[in-house]
Amino acid sequence: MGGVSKRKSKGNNRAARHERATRRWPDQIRADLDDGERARVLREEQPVDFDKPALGQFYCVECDRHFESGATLDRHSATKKHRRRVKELLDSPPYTQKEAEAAAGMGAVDTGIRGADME
Amino acid sequence: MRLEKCYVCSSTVYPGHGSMLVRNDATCVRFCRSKCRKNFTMRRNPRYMKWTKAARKAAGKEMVMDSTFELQRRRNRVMKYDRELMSTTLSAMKEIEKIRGRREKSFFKDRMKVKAKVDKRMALKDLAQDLEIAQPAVVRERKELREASKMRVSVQGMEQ
Repeated sequence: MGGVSKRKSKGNNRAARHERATRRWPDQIRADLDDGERARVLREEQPVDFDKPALGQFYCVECDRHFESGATLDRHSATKKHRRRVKELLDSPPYTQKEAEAAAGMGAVDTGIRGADME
Repeated sequence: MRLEKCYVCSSTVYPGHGSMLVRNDATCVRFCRSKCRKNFTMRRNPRYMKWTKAARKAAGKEMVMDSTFELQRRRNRVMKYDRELMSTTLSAMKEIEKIRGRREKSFFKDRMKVKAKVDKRMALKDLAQDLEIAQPAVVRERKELREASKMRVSVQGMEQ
Protein backbone atom coordinates (compact mmCIF):
# COMPACT_ATOMS: atom_id res chain seq x y z
CA MET A 1 0.00 0.00 0.00
CA GLY A 2 3.03 2.24 0.38
CA GLY A 3 3.51 5.18 2.68
CA VAL A 4 5.00 5.20 6.14
CA SER A 5 3.98 2.16 8.11
CA LYS A 6 2.49 2.66 11.53
CA ARG A 7 4.81 1.98 14.42
CA LYS A 8 4.11 -1.23 16.23
CA SER A 9 2.30 -0.83 19.51
CA LYS A 10 4.47 -0.75 22.59
CA GLY A 11 4.01 -2.98 25.59
CA ASN A 12 4.57 -6.66 25.99
CA ASN A 13 1.77 -7.81 23.66
CA ARG A 14 0.60 -10.76 25.70
CA ALA A 15 -1.66 -12.25 23.07
CA ALA A 16 1.14 -12.51 20.51
CA ARG A 17 3.50 -13.91 23.09
CA HIS A 18 0.94 -16.48 24.17
CA GLU A 19 0.36 -17.48 20.57
CA ARG A 20 4.10 -17.85 19.97
CA ALA A 21 4.49 -19.98 23.07
CA THR A 22 1.54 -22.28 22.39
CA ARG A 23 1.89 -22.80 18.66
CA ARG A 24 2.89 -26.34 17.92
CA TRP A 25 6.31 -27.23 16.56
CA PRO A 26 6.88 -29.44 13.53
CA ASP A 27 8.16 -32.32 15.64
CA GLN A 28 5.03 -32.20 17.84
CA ILE A 29 2.79 -32.14 14.77
CA ARG A 30 4.71 -34.99 13.22
CA ALA A 31 4.25 -37.03 16.41
CA ASP A 32 0.50 -36.32 16.28
CA LEU A 33 0.30 -37.41 12.66
CA ASP A 34 2.30 -40.56 13.27
CA ASP A 35 -0.06 -41.48 16.07
CA GLY A 36 -3.25 -41.59 13.98
CA GLU A 37 -5.58 -41.57 16.98
CA ARG A 38 -4.14 -38.31 18.31
CA ALA A 39 -4.52 -36.65 14.93
CA ARG A 40 -8.12 -37.86 14.70
CA VAL A 41 -8.98 -36.47 18.15
CA LEU A 42 -7.40 -33.12 17.19
CA ARG A 43 -9.41 -33.03 13.97
CA GLU A 44 -12.77 -34.25 15.21
CA GLU A 45 -13.01 -33.81 18.94
CA GLN A 46 -11.80 -30.28 19.51
CA PRO A 47 -13.09 -28.87 22.82
CA VAL A 48 -15.44 -25.88 22.52
CA ASP A 49 -13.32 -22.75 22.94
CA PHE A 50 -15.03 -19.35 22.80
CA ASP A 51 -11.75 -17.59 22.03
CA LYS A 52 -11.15 -19.51 18.81
CA PRO A 53 -12.78 -19.09 15.41
CA ALA A 54 -16.02 -21.12 15.18
CA LEU A 55 -15.45 -22.27 18.78
CA GLY A 56 -12.36 -24.13 17.57
CA GLN A 57 -14.35 -26.73 15.68
CA PHE A 58 -12.57 -26.54 12.32
CA TYR A 59 -8.93 -27.33 12.85
CA CYS A 60 -6.06 -28.10 10.49
CA VAL A 61 -3.64 -30.38 12.30
CA GLU A 62 -0.72 -29.90 9.90
CA CYS A 63 -0.78 -26.10 9.96
CA ASP A 64 -2.04 -25.74 13.57
CA ARG A 65 -4.78 -23.33 12.52
CA HIS A 66 -8.46 -22.88 13.29
CA PHE A 67 -11.00 -21.92 10.64
CA GLU A 68 -14.43 -20.29 10.54
CA SER A 69 -16.20 -23.09 8.72
CA GLY A 70 -15.82 -26.40 6.97
CA ALA A 71 -15.78 -24.61 3.63
CA THR A 72 -12.85 -22.37 4.58
CA LEU A 73 -11.02 -25.36 5.99
CA ASP A 74 -11.52 -27.22 2.71
CA ARG A 75 -10.36 -24.21 0.75
CA HIS A 76 -7.28 -24.01 2.98
CA SER A 77 -6.52 -27.70 2.45
CA ALA A 78 -6.34 -27.07 -1.28
CA THR A 79 -3.85 -24.20 -1.00
CA LYS A 80 -0.25 -24.56 -2.02
CA LYS A 81 0.89 -23.39 1.40
CA HIS A 82 -0.93 -26.24 3.13
CA ARG A 83 0.15 -28.88 0.65
CA ARG A 84 3.78 -27.75 0.89
CA ARG A 85 3.61 -27.97 4.64
CA VAL A 86 2.16 -31.47 4.56
CA LYS A 87 4.86 -32.59 2.15
CA GLU A 88 7.57 -31.08 4.32
CA LEU A 89 6.14 -32.73 7.44
CA LEU A 90 5.83 -36.17 5.93
CA ASP A 91 8.86 -36.33 3.67
CA SER A 92 11.67 -35.35 6.01
CA PRO A 93 12.15 -35.96 9.72
CA PRO A 94 11.51 -32.80 11.79
CA TYR A 95 14.56 -30.76 12.73
CA THR A 96 15.67 -31.19 16.34
CA GLN A 97 18.52 -30.22 18.63
CA LYS A 98 19.91 -33.67 17.94
CA GLU A 99 20.38 -32.85 14.28
CA ALA A 100 22.09 -29.59 15.22
CA GLU A 101 24.49 -31.53 17.41
CA ALA A 102 25.13 -34.12 14.71
CA ALA A 103 25.88 -31.30 12.27
CA ALA A 104 28.45 -29.99 14.73
CA GLY A 105 30.19 -33.37 14.65
CA MET A 106 28.78 -34.83 17.85
CA GLY A 107 27.80 -38.45 18.28
CA ALA A 108 24.79 -39.89 20.07
CA VAL A 109 24.28 -39.38 23.81
CA ASP A 110 26.45 -41.66 25.94
CA THR A 111 24.39 -42.87 28.89
CA GLY A 112 26.73 -45.65 29.88
CA ILE A 113 24.04 -48.20 29.07
CA ARG A 114 24.98 -50.59 26.32
CA GLY A 115 22.74 -50.26 23.26
CA ALA A 116 21.10 -47.08 24.54
CA ASP A 117 22.85 -44.98 21.91
CA MET A 118 21.27 -46.99 19.12
CA GLU A 119 17.86 -45.28 19.53
CA MET B 1 31.85 -27.51 32.24
CA ARG B 2 29.40 -28.52 29.55
CA LEU B 3 29.66 -27.04 26.08
CA GLU B 4 26.33 -26.97 24.28
CA LYS B 5 25.61 -26.67 20.57
CA CYS B 6 23.45 -23.96 19.07
CA TYR B 7 20.12 -25.24 17.71
CA VAL B 8 20.37 -23.12 14.58
CA CYS B 9 24.01 -22.77 13.56
CA SER B 10 25.54 -25.69 15.53
CA SER B 11 28.30 -23.53 16.95
CA THR B 12 29.55 -24.13 20.46
CA VAL B 13 27.74 -22.30 23.25
CA TYR B 14 30.03 -21.65 26.21
CA PRO B 15 28.68 -21.30 29.75
CA GLY B 16 27.29 -17.83 30.37
CA HIS B 17 26.69 -17.18 26.67
CA GLY B 18 23.61 -17.32 24.48
CA SER B 19 20.17 -18.28 25.68
CA MET B 20 18.04 -21.35 26.19
CA LEU B 21 14.39 -21.91 25.48
CA VAL B 22 12.50 -24.56 27.40
CA ARG B 23 9.33 -25.69 25.70
CA ASN B 24 6.25 -26.66 27.70
CA ASP B 25 7.14 -30.32 27.17
CA ALA B 26 10.62 -29.71 28.67
CA THR B 27 12.46 -29.86 25.34
CA CYS B 28 15.50 -27.60 25.59
CA VAL B 29 16.64 -25.50 22.67
CA ARG B 30 19.88 -23.53 22.85
CA PHE B 31 21.00 -20.47 20.93
CA CYS B 32 24.46 -18.95 20.62
CA ARG B 33 23.31 -15.39 19.83
CA SER B 34 20.24 -13.32 19.14
CA LYS B 35 20.56 -13.89 15.38
CA CYS B 36 19.96 -17.59 15.87
CA ARG B 37 17.18 -17.09 18.39
CA LYS B 38 15.37 -14.67 16.09
CA ASN B 39 15.59 -17.07 13.18
CA PHE B 40 14.13 -19.76 15.40
CA THR B 41 11.29 -17.48 16.53
CA MET B 42 10.51 -16.82 12.87
CA ARG B 43 10.05 -20.59 12.59
CA ARG B 44 12.71 -21.07 9.98
CA ASN B 45 14.15 -24.49 9.44
CA PRO B 46 17.95 -24.46 9.93
CA ARG B 47 18.17 -27.13 7.25
CA TYR B 48 17.16 -24.54 4.65
CA MET B 49 19.29 -21.64 5.87
CA LYS B 50 22.47 -21.74 3.84
CA TRP B 51 24.77 -20.40 6.54
CA THR B 52 24.08 -23.16 9.09
CA LYS B 53 26.08 -26.33 9.60
CA ALA B 54 22.93 -28.43 9.30
CA ALA B 55 22.24 -26.99 5.84
CA ARG B 56 25.76 -27.68 4.66
CA LYS B 57 25.52 -31.28 5.80
CA ALA B 58 22.04 -31.73 4.37
CA ALA B 59 23.31 -30.43 1.02
CA GLY B 60 26.21 -32.88 1.03
CA LYS B 61 28.84 -30.16 1.32
CA GLU B 62 30.41 -31.68 4.40
CA MET B 63 31.22 -35.11 5.74
CA VAL B 64 28.16 -36.58 7.50
CA MET B 65 28.97 -40.13 8.54
CA ASP B 66 32.36 -40.76 10.03
CA SER B 67 33.76 -42.77 12.89
CA THR B 68 35.65 -39.71 14.18
CA PHE B 69 32.31 -38.17 15.17
CA GLU B 70 32.02 -40.80 17.88
CA LEU B 71 34.48 -39.04 20.18
CA GLN B 72 32.55 -35.90 20.94
CA ARG B 73 29.37 -36.95 22.74
CA ARG B 74 27.13 -35.74 25.48
CA ARG B 75 28.05 -38.07 28.32
CA ASN B 76 25.23 -38.52 30.79
CA ARG B 77 27.11 -40.60 33.28
CA VAL B 78 29.31 -40.04 36.26
CA MET B 79 33.00 -40.68 35.79
CA LYS B 80 35.45 -40.85 38.62
CA TYR B 81 38.49 -38.67 37.99
CA ASP B 82 41.37 -40.70 36.66
CA ARG B 83 44.59 -38.92 35.80
CA GLU B 84 45.75 -41.57 33.37
CA LEU B 85 42.42 -41.67 31.54
CA MET B 86 42.53 -37.90 31.33
CA SER B 87 45.95 -37.86 29.66
CA THR B 88 45.08 -40.65 27.22
CA THR B 89 41.85 -38.85 26.31
CA LEU B 90 43.71 -35.61 25.65
CA SER B 91 46.23 -37.32 23.41
CA ALA B 92 43.45 -39.24 21.65
CA MET B 93 41.61 -35.98 21.02
CA LYS B 94 44.61 -34.55 19.22
CA GLU B 95 45.09 -37.70 17.19
CA ILE B 96 41.44 -37.98 16.21
CA GLU B 97 41.36 -34.31 15.27
CA LYS B 98 44.25 -34.96 12.88
CA ILE B 99 42.52 -37.96 11.31
CA ARG B 100 39.31 -35.98 10.93
CA GLY B 101 41.13 -33.11 9.27
CA ARG B 102 42.68 -35.53 6.78
CA ARG B 103 39.35 -37.12 5.97
CA GLU B 104 37.64 -33.77 5.57
CA LYS B 105 40.35 -32.69 3.19
CA SER B 106 39.94 -35.77 1.03
CA PHE B 107 36.15 -35.39 1.15
CA PHE B 108 36.53 -31.81 -0.10
CA LYS B 109 38.89 -32.94 -2.83
CA ASP B 110 36.43 -35.57 -4.03
CA ARG B 111 33.63 -33.03 -4.04
CA MET B 112 35.70 -30.56 -6.03
CA LYS B 113 36.57 -33.18 -8.63
CA VAL B 114 32.95 -33.23 -9.70
CA LYS B 115 32.78 -29.45 -9.52
CA ALA B 116 35.63 -29.01 -12.01
CA LYS B 117 33.78 -31.18 -14.51
CA VAL B 118 30.51 -29.32 -14.04
CA ASP B 119 32.24 -25.96 -14.34
CA LYS B 120 33.90 -27.00 -17.58
CA ARG B 121 30.63 -28.22 -19.02
CA MET B 122 28.87 -25.00 -18.09
CA ALA B 123 31.69 -22.89 -19.54
CA LEU B 124 31.56 -24.80 -22.83
CA LYS B 125 27.80 -24.31 -22.93
CA ASP B 126 28.18 -20.59 -22.32
CA LEU B 127 30.78 -20.39 -25.07
CA ALA B 128 28.51 -22.16 -27.52
CA GLN B 129 25.52 -20.00 -26.68
CA ASP B 130 26.96 -16.55 -26.09
CA LEU B 131 30.16 -16.30 -28.06
CA GLU B 132 29.93 -12.51 -27.96
CA ILE B 133 30.56 -12.45 -24.23
CA ALA B 134 33.86 -14.18 -24.79
CA GLN B 135 34.96 -11.60 -27.35
CA PRO B 136 37.13 -8.74 -26.09
CA ALA B 137 35.34 -5.46 -25.50
CA VAL B 138 37.24 -3.72 -28.31
CA VAL B 139 36.01 -6.15 -30.93
CA ARG B 140 32.47 -5.82 -29.68
CA GLU B 141 32.64 -2.03 -29.74
CA ARG B 142 33.96 -1.98 -33.28
CA LYS B 143 31.21 -4.33 -34.38
CA GLU B 144 28.57 -2.15 -32.76
CA LEU B 145 30.02 0.96 -34.42
CA ARG B 146 29.99 -0.75 -37.77
CA GLU B 147 26.38 -1.77 -37.37
CA ALA B 148 25.40 1.72 -36.21
CA SER B 149 27.05 3.32 -39.26
CA LYS B 150 25.28 0.84 -41.52
CA MET B 151 22.00 1.83 -39.94
CA ARG B 152 22.73 5.50 -40.51
CA VAL B 153 23.54 4.88 -44.14
CA SER B 154 20.37 2.92 -44.69
CA VAL B 155 18.26 5.62 -42.99
CA GLN B 156 19.88 8.25 -45.20
CA GLY B 157 19.17 6.13 -48.24
CA MET B 158 15.53 5.90 -47.29
CA GLU B 159 15.26 9.66 -46.87
CA GLN B 160 16.65 10.27 -50.31
